Amino acid sequence: MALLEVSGLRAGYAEVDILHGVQLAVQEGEIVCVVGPNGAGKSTLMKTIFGLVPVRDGRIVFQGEDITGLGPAQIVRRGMCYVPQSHNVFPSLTVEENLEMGAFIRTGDFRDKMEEMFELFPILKERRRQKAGTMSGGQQQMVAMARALMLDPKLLLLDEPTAGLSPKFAELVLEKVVEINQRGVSVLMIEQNARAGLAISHRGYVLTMGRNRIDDTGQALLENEEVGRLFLGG
Amino acid sequence: MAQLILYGLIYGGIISLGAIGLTLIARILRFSHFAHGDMMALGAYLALLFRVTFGLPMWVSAVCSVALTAAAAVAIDRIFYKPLRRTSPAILLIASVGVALVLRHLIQLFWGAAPQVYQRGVERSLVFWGLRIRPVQVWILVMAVVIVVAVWLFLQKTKLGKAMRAMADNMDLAAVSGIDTERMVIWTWVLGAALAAAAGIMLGLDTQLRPAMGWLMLLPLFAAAILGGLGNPYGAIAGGMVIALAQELSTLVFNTAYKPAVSFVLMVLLLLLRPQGLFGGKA
Repeated sequence: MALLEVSGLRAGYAEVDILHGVQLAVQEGEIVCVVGPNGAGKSTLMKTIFGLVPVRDGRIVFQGEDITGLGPAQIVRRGMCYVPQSHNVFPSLTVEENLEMGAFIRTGDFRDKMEEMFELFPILKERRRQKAGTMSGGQQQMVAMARALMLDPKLLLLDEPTAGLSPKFAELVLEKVVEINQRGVSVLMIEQNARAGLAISHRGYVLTMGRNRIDDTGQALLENEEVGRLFLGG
Repeated sequence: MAQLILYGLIYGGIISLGAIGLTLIARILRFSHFAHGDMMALGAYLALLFRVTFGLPMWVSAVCSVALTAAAAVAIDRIFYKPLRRTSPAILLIASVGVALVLRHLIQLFWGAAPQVYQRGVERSLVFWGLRIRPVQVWILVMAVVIVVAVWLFLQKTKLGKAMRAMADNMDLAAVSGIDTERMVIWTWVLGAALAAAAGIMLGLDTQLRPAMGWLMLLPLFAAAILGGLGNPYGAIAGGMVIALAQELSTLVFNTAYKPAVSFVLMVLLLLLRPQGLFGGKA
């Protein structure tokens, strides 16, 4: 059974549908990358899965449970966390406080988890008392990922984790994604740098105009001529 | 001069307490709460009810009033503001002007338009190092400091306080983190209204109670909140102090009647020169 199974998903804003029946699955332990041109509905897909955009049709099943129509607060409690593309830290809170907010719904001690995050992102330990808003984009992205991981999610949704980062930081962030995955967290991500995103992913989905175009393994998509021509600039 | 600074600190404490609620509501609920001054007045008059009508000690009256004002604020939010929250901030702002008018006239209806006091008679001023201060002002100063420190500790150390700052920072991310934003909104009203009531009572203790006392405080409250960078509770405290000191010290140069104009001028200058607030808060 898939960890996450999305079928026939239709959603959008106001009068307009952005997603016209999208299928997607994430198996336990996978990194799955969604690529596609601007306006394909990638971000809307993430937001709909996480309950931020209402579902108009279709089903979202997570860990065998139908979560269609649930809000973020309930979805978080079921073990799925989400890192938005922008504004993904609390700027006037310190790094430590950001992580604490990530663990808001946890009762009891979360010191261990915070130490684990500091081990995963050593730079955050150094800067634990710094306000997140004063950090560089790459460091903020790490704060954002650490915040989302504080709840020990089964599945992490990442919306363009490398957007606006320098190539060096982008590479570092993707390395961290692999490391997070190796610690047992499945990852569903959108990546504007399709080549880099697919290279670290087990499987990928190409989305155009709110519809599935091609689904395959990350490697196969990288080698696919059509995908190459359309999105990989080669 | 030192005397004016002392009065400024007392007045600043009162403004700061009111401005903390205003700034949190502005950021978390995204509207300028024009009824905040009248919530101060409501707090002051409720304390009068317990103090004079029921004859309870002042501190008991104050505690009862703070609790009741907080409850009233939550009720007002549920009845008037919550149904409008999905519309635009301008509509909420206008609704709050309506709430302000209702509160002020209810106060006038029950307690009359004439000025009232908690305690009759003249207090002899104490003199320390040549500074004159009435015993009740010592109390106001002590309580203001205690409450400001308590609020600071609450926001800095408790989970609820941190979540409140997180909400003020980034409401969407708070929701995504699983923070129950609706519950936090209620707590924001409780905190904001309780502090407003405390400020109103202090103002009533320092001078006298009039139905328009809160309305007249609105300008310095907003000036303080904006000065501190709207949404930043610590900024509001500092902003309150700056506004109060500027108002008091201005009397060295201008007629006392121009005091309110000082906060207005400061607010306009600030909006023109540093709209993000004095302390570099984000716009």
